[in-house]
Amino acid sequence: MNPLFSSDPSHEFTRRYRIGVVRAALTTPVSALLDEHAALYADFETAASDGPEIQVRVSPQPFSLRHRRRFDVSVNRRVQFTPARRAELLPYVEWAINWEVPRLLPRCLHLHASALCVNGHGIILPGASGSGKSTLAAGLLTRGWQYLCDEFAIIDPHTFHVLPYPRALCIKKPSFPAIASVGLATHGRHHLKGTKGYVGFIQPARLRSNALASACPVRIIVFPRYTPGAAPRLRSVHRAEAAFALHHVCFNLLDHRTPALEIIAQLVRGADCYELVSGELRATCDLVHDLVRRTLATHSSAPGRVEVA
Amino acid sequence: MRGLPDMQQDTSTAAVWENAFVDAVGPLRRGDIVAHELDGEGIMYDPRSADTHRLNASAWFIWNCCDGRHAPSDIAARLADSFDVNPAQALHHVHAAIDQFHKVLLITEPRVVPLDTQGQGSARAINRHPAAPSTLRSGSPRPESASA
Repeated sequence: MNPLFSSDPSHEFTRRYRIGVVRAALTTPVSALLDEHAALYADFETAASDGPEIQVRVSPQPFSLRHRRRFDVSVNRRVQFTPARRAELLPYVEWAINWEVPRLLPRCLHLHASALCVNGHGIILPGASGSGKSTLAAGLLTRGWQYLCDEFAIIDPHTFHVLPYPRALCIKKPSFPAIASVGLATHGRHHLKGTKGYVGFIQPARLRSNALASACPVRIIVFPRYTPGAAPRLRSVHRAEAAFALHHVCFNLLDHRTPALEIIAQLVRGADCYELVSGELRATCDLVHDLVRRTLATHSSAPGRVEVA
Repeated sequence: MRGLPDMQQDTSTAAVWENAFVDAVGPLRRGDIVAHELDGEGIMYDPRSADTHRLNASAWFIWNCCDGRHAPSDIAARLADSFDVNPAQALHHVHAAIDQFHKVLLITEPRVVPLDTQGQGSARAINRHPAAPSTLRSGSPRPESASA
């Protein structure tokens, strides 16, 4: 039987990963999907489960007169997505894991943001989908910045540090030329991601040996807003405005309610906050890189000690 | 009745009620609102509606004066002392801000005290309660100072 369309559990294989603070397991008979996923996360593979994990299962469902051919993507035994095409599977697996991360780490605050690190100082880029977070994060990685996470900035409620979850950067097709302009390319084939069209993935761990960061305090918050053709510019943002904006990009606000505001308030008290109009990627990276270098040099007890590429 | 959680917890002491209402001469902020000051501005969370509000410096100042003990005119005088506005402008801003606070339910609504078993204590409380209806009635334009 073609394993691609087999629902026989005996054809299934499982691979487990520990991706920063997130443990996940992927089970499926679709070996090509396992291989593609492993190509992104081989550096994080573990032999056995050593704690609570997100269990994702992709089960091909046979075609019948009542149902079109589809794949059931379930998370912790609940079917979340039913993509029809093979090219959609990897993005949906990623999506399914993301879906569950706030439940796996319920005490943390989950902000819709990319998170990076320079010399132990966290920089988060919060924003809604389409604001250019991932593309900007990819560009900044080429400047020697270290990677914490894309899509999520996971904030520890006690230390207010941003925690690492180095999932692969998901780059939409319209941004491929931009990342090519800074010398990056997506890994492997391209995939369909719902209404977002074709996407490609970049695993920052593969870019260089020290590309991943550990948990670190948030020093700078930059709200990017991609505006095609715009000259990149920065505006300092009042901390109350930043807290207000962060509140609106908090994934698990309703779980936290009152404490969320306290965590956010504490987070912005320790950070400088900016709004960024981003345009051409290289020029935008220049601007942000310079801002961070100057800001961290000011904060550093030994000015000039901060070294970034 | 909303907005006076501490007083509600101690309703057995008539004096507390009496003093509270005698002292209440102005708008009173809700006690369950979570508010934080950030560089002179305010960010607050309403646990009932799950709404977040951001207040600029003057709105935050007015909010902090809404302790039930200050009439709008008192708050305006304080505002004029602390910000670069004349008394008339200050009073306008205070009315506008209080009106906005009321619209988004950040301050207590006009109080309806349930009757107690004797039907007297609460009635007295209502009579003694100057919940500053004039403040809430003010038809001020939308303030620039509070945003949701």
